[in-house]
Amino acid sequence: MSTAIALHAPIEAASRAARSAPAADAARADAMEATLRALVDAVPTATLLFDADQQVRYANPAARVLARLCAPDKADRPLAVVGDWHPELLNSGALHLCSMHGSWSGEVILGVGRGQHKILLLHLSRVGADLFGMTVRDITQDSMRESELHARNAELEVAYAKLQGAQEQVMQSEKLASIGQLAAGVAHEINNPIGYVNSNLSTLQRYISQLFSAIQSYEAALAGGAGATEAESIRQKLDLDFLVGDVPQLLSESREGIDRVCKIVRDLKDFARKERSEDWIKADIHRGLDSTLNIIWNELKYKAQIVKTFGELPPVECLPSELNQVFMNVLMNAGQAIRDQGIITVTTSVAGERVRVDIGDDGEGIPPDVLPRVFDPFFTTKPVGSGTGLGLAISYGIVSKHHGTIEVSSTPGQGTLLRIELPIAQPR
Amino acid sequence: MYRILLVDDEPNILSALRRCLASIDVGELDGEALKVEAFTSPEQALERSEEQDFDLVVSDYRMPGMDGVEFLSAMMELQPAVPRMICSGYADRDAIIAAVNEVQLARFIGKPWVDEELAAAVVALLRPGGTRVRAQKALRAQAASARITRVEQDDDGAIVLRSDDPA
Repeated sequence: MSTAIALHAPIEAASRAARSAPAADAARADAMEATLRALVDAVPTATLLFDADQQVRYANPAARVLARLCAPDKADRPLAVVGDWHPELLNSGALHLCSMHGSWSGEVILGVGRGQHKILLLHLSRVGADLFGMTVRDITQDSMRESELHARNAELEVAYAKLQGAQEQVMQSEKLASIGQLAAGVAHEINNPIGYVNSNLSTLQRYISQLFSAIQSYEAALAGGAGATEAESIRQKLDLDFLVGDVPQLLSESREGIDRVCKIVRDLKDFARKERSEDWIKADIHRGLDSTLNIIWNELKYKAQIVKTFGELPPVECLPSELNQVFMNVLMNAGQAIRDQGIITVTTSVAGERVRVDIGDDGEGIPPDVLPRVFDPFFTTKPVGSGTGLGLAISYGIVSKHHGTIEVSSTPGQGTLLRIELPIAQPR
Repeated sequence: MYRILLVDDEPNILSALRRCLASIDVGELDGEALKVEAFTSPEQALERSEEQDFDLVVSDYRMPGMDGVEFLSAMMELQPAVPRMICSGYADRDAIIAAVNEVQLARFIGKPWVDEELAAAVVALLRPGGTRVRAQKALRAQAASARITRVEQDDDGAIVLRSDDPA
């Protein structure tokens, strides 16, 4: 009888103690046994005790409930042997391992009819010489929850990847929008020199055919033994004096035009330099500012005067084309803040271990209620379609990536100052 | 003599336009000479226009201080009958439409231009229908806006204004 509840060593010890005790103690031991049985009956974990032949000696109510749930017909099981629970509940290998090592744990998946299954966590332990205790926990819900979690996690990972892709796309489209904004100005700036160089070439063609006919006339006159008067009349007729004066001028103006186009193209290349995103180099901030100013000069020159006050700056470890994008966004905003005519100041200096770039304008300024939002993504005060509202948000991101800061201060009606500070060397 | 007023903030454009106009054979203009006056500042061009009548105005669109449309509308006040042309590399469609509507542009020529086309446009505007422009000035002043019945964009993007009744 006592072995029926001897599930654990302390209980065994208790029963041993009970055996060796006098009669008074035996009564107490019986009471103890009843208490322990009540305890195991009350435990919500299915608990079985069986012998080496898998004859069930004891099964608590939780075990009967769980066994019923594992049956296809959901009917009560007699549970005379372990196999009554389910033929596949316990395989001989597990029992063998338990005999050798004293305990065994493992999961089994049981088909329970109608395509359903249950996942059970078994824990076997040897009790005494030829008895085994077994607890069975239904972990079907747990493992369903677990696989659900896995699935959700995978979904989240996919969503995250999508968001990252979307962010890149948004940044790219912002870049394209600023490029589009630039394109008109740059086209104008290129079309002007190309316009006059092209026209000058047509003129030059005309001049050259005039020169060729002059040569022919001279040759004919020479062959006819002509003198200075005839040469002079040819000269006047073909307006050679004018040609001689105009050709060098035409050429130098055309040269100037081509130089300008080359410079614009060089600045554009400098500005939009393709670099791998992790290509940090030590770069001259002034060069970035200058090439950016050159690029957007076409946008600014009609309304703003630029006052540059460049200090002595060391090379700064940075991603130059990304910084150029920041400078462009800030300078374009400065230009747009100026209604008619104004001044944009670009000032650089060193402040400790950082360089400072201040870009100021004397334009409309930013109202106090708007000021805290200027770095918010998609925040724009421009009419729909003319700004993505991402310029400053992206600038903020780029400056943060450089471990720098970007701050704005503004007085409505007086102007705005953007202060960008960048560490000279990136923290290791 | 035909007087042409050129305005562009870029001096080299003015030189090139002068050379282009110099290529027009006087024969095409009934033997009349062309006198070209060029300004890099629209304000100065307007000042000059207060004392001198012109037969044609050619202006850039994008200029500091005053854009081509602003300049040409001021010009319209001073000399309503003078035909107005814009020669610009600024290809913004809205700007062109505004120019056409606000200053009743006779031609829009894009930069870079083709010399022959520019010269032909100048000749056509100076001698519409082969008769002298001055003789028609008064007439055109009254009819200018009414006569534009079609606005078209030709192959190289220039906006062409047409009237259905040939002048």
